[in-house]
Amino acid sequence: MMEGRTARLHPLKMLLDLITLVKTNIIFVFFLYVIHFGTDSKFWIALQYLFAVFILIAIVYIIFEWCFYRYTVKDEAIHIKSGVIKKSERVVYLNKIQNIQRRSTVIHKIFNISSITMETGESGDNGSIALAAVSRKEADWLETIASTEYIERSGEAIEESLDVIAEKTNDRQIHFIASKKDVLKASFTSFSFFALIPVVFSIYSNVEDFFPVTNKMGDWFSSVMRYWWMIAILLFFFTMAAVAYGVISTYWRYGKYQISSDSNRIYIKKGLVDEVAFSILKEKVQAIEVIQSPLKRILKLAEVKLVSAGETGEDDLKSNSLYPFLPIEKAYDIVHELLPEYKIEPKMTSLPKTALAARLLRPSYLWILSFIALFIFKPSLWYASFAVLLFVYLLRILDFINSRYIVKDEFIQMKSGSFQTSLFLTKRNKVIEIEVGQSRWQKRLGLATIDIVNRSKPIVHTDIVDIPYEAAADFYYWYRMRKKEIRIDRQV
Amino acid sequence: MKKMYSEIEEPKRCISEKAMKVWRISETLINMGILVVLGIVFYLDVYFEWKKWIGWIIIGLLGLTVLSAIWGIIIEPSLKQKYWRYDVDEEFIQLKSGIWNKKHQLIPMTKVQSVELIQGPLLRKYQLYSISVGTMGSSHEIPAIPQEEAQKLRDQIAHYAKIKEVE
Repeated sequence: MMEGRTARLHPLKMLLDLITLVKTNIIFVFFLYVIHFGTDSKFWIALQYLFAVFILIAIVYIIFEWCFYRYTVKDEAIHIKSGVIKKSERVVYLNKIQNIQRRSTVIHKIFNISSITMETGESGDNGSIALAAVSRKEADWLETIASTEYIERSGEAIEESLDVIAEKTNDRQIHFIASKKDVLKASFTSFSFFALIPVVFSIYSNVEDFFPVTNKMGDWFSSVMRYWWMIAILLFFFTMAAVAYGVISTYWRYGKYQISSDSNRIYIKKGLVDEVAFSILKEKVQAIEVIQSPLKRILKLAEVKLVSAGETGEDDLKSNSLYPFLPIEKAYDIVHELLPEYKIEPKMTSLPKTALAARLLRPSYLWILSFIALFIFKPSLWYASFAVLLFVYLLRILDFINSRYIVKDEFIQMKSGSFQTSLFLTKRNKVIEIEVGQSRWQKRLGLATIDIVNRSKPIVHTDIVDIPYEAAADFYYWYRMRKKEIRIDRQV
Repeated sequence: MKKMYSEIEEPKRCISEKAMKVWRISETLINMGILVVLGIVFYLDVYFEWKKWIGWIIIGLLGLTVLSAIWGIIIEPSLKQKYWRYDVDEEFIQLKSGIWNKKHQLIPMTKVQSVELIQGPLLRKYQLYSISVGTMGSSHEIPAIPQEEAQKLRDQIAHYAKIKEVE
């Protein structure tokens, strides 16, 4: 067993905490010390003192918290000791780490530090380790040791890998960098220019709260509206502003998008000012998902996601997606470069004709409900429920046309969806559970539904409805053979 | 080698026949409870002369309860017991259940995280246990297994599930 290496977070962690402290309390500070400056009221003076004491305690707490927070890397695990009053000690095994996220805000960048979060995908306290501020070099090192491929290695391997980092960074291969053209394309296909409208409204309503501008605006507006050329100019400027806003906000989010990889890991980095980086060990990729909205289908673009068992960030910061506006061919090429063993099979089996029959015969509860509701509340409009039925059928038929599947070697690939389609590709050893279902209807038509479960956070179910029963049986026995690919964990 | 399997072979082991009794009793109790509540509401409706449509809704609900009681007490238990199958081996837990929608489930042993015996008062009366198997994202329950068999099965699953795969 090796000694291990213990470290504290970067001292700038205290500065970051201080900034948050100020940010959250700025209103109180303003209220107590600016508005009530030099007050005579004993009540306010007492409050001012109390608040000062509170801030002082908070600052001392920040310092102590930093002092007591220590992490040690030893015995294939990261040990974290923390807590000022209530002590806690956590252990997270390195081979359980599923993916790594790094974030650098402007402040991080100025001081050459970054925050790093290592996700295990497990629930509870040991689910992830978040180090709020470490030097960049330290972050690189942690990223390397936390995602070394599973081998029964000795302690020295970790020490060794310190030197290997430099080499590793060199053999990193870049697969994609978003060019200006890509960002432009992204901003138009995501309709980002509409984003200005809510922004204008929120500014307007905020301004309205302070100054009653509506009247003046009304006068001004009606004077403008008198001449068509003024309307044209106004529209022109508004459109320009909307486009500019859309492009800039897209650039802010997707500018500097970069996908790279080395022999064992994949790295995705994005963000112009606030940078979000995601990295995952290739063998930890649970599945690949290709999502296409109708517009993207027309433009032959697609979003490709690497499904990870760990957390991948919230909303905008979701970081496991390869550039969401890649031309589909290019996307497939990149997937193949990143994960040579995963190959998206273009030729899949479509559903049999009986599946269409099954879909048309299946009762629509939505329609029945809407029919009953209309019958009770507005009997004269009973026929309107048929619009619902028509829409339901449209969705079903589109899904029938889009549904495809193939089980080949150790891979399974399924595609479905009505308007937005999603293609899911995974390996047998990454599927954690399966189900084959058959309703009476399906039995009569010789069909079945298959459902696979993969790790993600939370787990993902992917199913395909109405495939031939024989294919479902084949799939069932295919899954029984998964022993071939799994490796037994000897650590437990 | 293609088209080797035209059918999924069912797991072999059945659940206890006493399960039918347990389900019948619990369904009877539940439905009686619902009937009592609806009866009280109906009485109040007549006594206080509520609006007419409320009475119709209550009568409708009473009718539905009677229908679901007939299904739940008389028909469903025997079918449910008849179709339930399970099997456990070194590699997988196999489950098969369902009357209208048949489900075949395969859960690899390496993915099993917990196994638990559950016994409510009714199951205790008939010396039965339910086995609940917890995996990463869900839990699966095999209902109504005789005591000795259940304990053996739990130990067996716990033993097989010790082995974990690299993820």
